[in-house]
Amino acid sequence: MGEGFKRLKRLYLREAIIKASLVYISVALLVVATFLIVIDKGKIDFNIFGVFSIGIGLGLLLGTAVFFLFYRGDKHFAKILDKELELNEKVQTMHAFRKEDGCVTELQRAETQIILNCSRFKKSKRITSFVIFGLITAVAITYFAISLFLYLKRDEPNNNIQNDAPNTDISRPDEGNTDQPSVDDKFEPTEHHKKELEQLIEYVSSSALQDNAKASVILELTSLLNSLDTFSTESALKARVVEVIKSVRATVDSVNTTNAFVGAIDDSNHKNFNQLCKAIYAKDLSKVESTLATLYNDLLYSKVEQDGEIVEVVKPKEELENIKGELEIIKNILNMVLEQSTLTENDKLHTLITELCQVLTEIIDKSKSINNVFTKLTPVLNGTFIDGLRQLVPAEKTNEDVKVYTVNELKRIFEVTSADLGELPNSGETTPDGPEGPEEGPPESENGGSYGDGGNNFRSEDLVIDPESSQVDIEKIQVEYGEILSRYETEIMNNLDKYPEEIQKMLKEYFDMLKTPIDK
Amino acid sequence: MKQVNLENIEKVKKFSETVKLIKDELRKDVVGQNEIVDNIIIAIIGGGNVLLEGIPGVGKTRLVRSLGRTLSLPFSRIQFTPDLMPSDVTGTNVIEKDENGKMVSSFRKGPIFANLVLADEINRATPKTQSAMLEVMQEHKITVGNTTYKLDEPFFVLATENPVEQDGTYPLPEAQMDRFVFKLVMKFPSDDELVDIVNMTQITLDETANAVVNGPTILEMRSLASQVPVIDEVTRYAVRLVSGTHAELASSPASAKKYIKYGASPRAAQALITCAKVRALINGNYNVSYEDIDALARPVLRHRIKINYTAVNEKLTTDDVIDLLVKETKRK
Repeated sequence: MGEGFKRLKRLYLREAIIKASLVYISVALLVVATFLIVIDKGKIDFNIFGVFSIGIGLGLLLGTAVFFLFYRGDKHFAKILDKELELNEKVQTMHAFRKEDGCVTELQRAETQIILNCSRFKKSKRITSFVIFGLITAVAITYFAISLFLYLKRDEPNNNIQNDAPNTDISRPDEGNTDQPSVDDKFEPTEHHKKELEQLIEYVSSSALQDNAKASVILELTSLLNSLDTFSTESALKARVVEVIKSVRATVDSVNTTNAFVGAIDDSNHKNFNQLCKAIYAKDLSKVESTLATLYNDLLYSKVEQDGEIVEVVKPKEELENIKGELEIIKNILNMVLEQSTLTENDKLHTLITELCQVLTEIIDKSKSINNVFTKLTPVLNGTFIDGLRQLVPAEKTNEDVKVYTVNELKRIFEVTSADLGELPNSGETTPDGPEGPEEGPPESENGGSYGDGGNNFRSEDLVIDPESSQVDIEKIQVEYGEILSRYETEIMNNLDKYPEEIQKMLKEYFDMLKTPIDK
Repeated sequence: MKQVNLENIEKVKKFSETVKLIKDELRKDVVGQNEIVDNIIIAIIGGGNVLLEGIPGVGKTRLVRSLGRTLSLPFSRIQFTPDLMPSDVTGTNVIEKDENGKMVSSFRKGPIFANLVLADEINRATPKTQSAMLEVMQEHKITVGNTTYKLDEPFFVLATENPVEQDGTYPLPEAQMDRFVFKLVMKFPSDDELVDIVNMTQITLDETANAVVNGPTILEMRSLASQVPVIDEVTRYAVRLVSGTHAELASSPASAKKYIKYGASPRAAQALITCAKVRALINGNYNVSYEDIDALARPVLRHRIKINYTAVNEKLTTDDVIDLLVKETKRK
């Protein structure tokens, strides 16, 4: 191909290598610098060795690509020479016909070689090209230097993980500051916030929460998760979390129709009916059944003493009008409730109550004996009505449990207090006590040390004896231990990295176990 | 570096000198029209026929006659008229008495039997007569009866047509148009050129060019030109240019799709490469470049493509469309 061609090719290859190297260095530095900035912002957690490996790898890849962009063999170089030196395809022809003989071909080859021997690349173009590549490399170096400086500054000793953790000062409740809204300060979402929120979403997804409520709740939580990065102040974040909490409550309450039903109950004069309503509101199926049974028995049986024992016997027929009177009262209460509640004809509870009222009407109008009352009331009250409640109550209990847990978790993760929610202190999520529940303070447990309210669903159940009826009854007991426990959990979870892996697993399991409600 | 054969250098030097001589001689009789002269020389060396178009009096016939003198080739002129018969062109068998008094049939050669044929106003002849030229122009042989007569090389047909006289003309069919390697348009001379023409013709109306080359020399030049190397990229460029004239092809440029009705035949690609080699050598280059192809695009394509009404409506000529095509065809 001639000395001229080889000389120019050497020059060109040298330039291509230099340019490829500059690209390699620039890309490697840019990639590493970008990763350092992202790590500094806390958006990802990456090993520094891995970052450099990725940078070097990408740099090599692009540098090689640039080299082959500039040089792809002699044919390509011949084309470049023709273009740069404006030789009208002379070099390409020389290369293509390098092995051919012929009068004109030989002359062409010779002429081109002579031209190439005397040719030089245009300096101005070369200089411009190198200046551009040099500038890019300089920018990359500067960018890398700045990001490295910021990264190293971030890793100084007083800038530790605890700064990312929510403030879990134990003395706060004694200072009475929990009820004050949080002071505005800069908020940066951490991986911990996101992980917790993701776990919460997963919990709700896998829970038995009613489908239409579940979709809404998940949507709210997912929206919160996706928007975490947009909050710059803690107060803005808490305001949003409060909205989510209210939305979750409202969503679940709307599907828990028994709440709507009980909300319309006034303090009923009928003691057993009133207790039945409380049990339904509390989603306590066993109490519902027992109260319903009591209601049924009280209607139709009376206690007499026989042979020194208290036995239940069917009421005498003279009592029929009294029974009908009681049933009339119950029916009227039920009709009033239907009118005043937000229940609709689509709600199952509405259907149950309506059917019961129809039976009661029939009994009142048509029954001529207590046996007739038995015949008509028993299959409904102890049959379809209780069966209906058996399906409804547990499902709504589950909804309520999921609602309570979700709200308490949101409060814990984002340190939302009662004051933030506009509620009275210690009015955190509790298991419902009936219509007058929220005003009551949590009773102390006889056993002590149980889980209680304060924004979490840690609770337990203890047997207590009702002083009025001397009957064994099950009461829910709530104490403030839950709030302290949640603070322990938060502190530990924020510093989980410091523990060995097996210990981390144990700790997670321990706190998960504590959150699981105790089965009856 | 390998030593170059001196003989080769001499050959190429002789080529350049011969071309220069031809040009100089032609300039004695033809004023201006440099591009036409250059292209005719390219066509002759390339072995192609040329169609000359121009208004009466611009020097078409004079140029061809002068060329005949310069090339010292047997020259004949055929004036095409509507009543011209094919046998008037090719020749015919006649019955005549031999020396013994016997009646024998002998073939009388027509004016086509020359090396350089001027077919004047070819579009005045009937299609039948025009078709007699087809075989001659392509294959350089004539078939009369059962006998085929080969014409002496080099053989060229330089045809002229007058665009002005529309009455009594028969447009040349595409098949015949395709036989012309170039179509050259002789424009009206400039004022200065016309002054020179007037002054020159005051002295004499006859051509004064001298013979500087002969048939064998032309053939040698043709052989030398055919050896000029062409790289594959340039050949493909020429091919893309020609195939780009076909609007129905997906790869054709936008201007072809918009303005061209009929595209060029493969002969156009052959003509481009053959004549580009000659042009390169005439210009002192030993290889064909994109520039050579671009320079010959107009004469090679203008009689081979047909523009549509859209181009006419936008007042575009065939040359304008060819220029657009060249602009839009990518070099690789």
